[in-house]
Amino acid sequence: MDDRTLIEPLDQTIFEEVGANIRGPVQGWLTIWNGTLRGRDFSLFQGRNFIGSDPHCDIRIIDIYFPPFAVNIRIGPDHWQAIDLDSDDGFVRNDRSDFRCELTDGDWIQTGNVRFRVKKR
Amino acid sequence: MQTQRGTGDGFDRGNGVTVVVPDKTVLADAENGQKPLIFAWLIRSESEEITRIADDEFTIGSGPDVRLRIRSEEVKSLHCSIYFVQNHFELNDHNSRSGTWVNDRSIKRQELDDGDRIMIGGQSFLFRCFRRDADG
Repeated sequence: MDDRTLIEPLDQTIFEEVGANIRGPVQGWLTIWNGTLRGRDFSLFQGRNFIGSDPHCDIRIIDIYFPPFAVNIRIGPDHWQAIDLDSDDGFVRNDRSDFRCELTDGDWIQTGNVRFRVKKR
Repeated sequence: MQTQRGTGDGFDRGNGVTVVVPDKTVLADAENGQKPLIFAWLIRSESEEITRIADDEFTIGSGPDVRLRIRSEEVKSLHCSIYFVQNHFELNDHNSRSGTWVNDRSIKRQELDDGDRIMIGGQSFLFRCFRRDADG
């Protein structure tokens, strides 16, 4: 018997990236807790997730204080890593400076003046 | 289907990358710091559709005025709601006939945890949120 149920998400605050189906299923989310994009969430996918203000980044944050290439959240089959891309100071993970680290669900990351939090699906 | 919704301006660069320009509403919220941020997601098991919960009241039903609409004979016009109360989420059933279920248990009002499975009118959803003990 056909499933005739129709789901219609009507929440206008939803944000889904264009091209989500190109990169496969959503693996988690990057949530933004301050700055000009406070309250936004971005989908994270398997492989690289470049975050920065440069047009070549996967998640582009247009902010004059945000680095062109800030951090890569690399998602593999059994690991999540945050990797600094182009800075002298790295990023801050849970109040500690780092350049490369494993991420766990709910970790905080700060780069520039922007605070993120990662959520695994 | 590729979709994009949002209160800000966004555009596709044509290679799967989305560019987002901050909108004035978000800017104002950030400056005022008044509204607590709410991050939760419902993932429909069957189709993997993801719906973000960003408000302190998120209504679900078959009627025209709900935030997540499920067109099914088993689903009431206003079937249930998810509330964000005192830094946690609660699911409230609005006296529906088919009921609202959390982890295979029928509920009237139930606090939600990350990873809970919600069943509404035969449709299954995974609820995801930040765990309270991990708040920074």
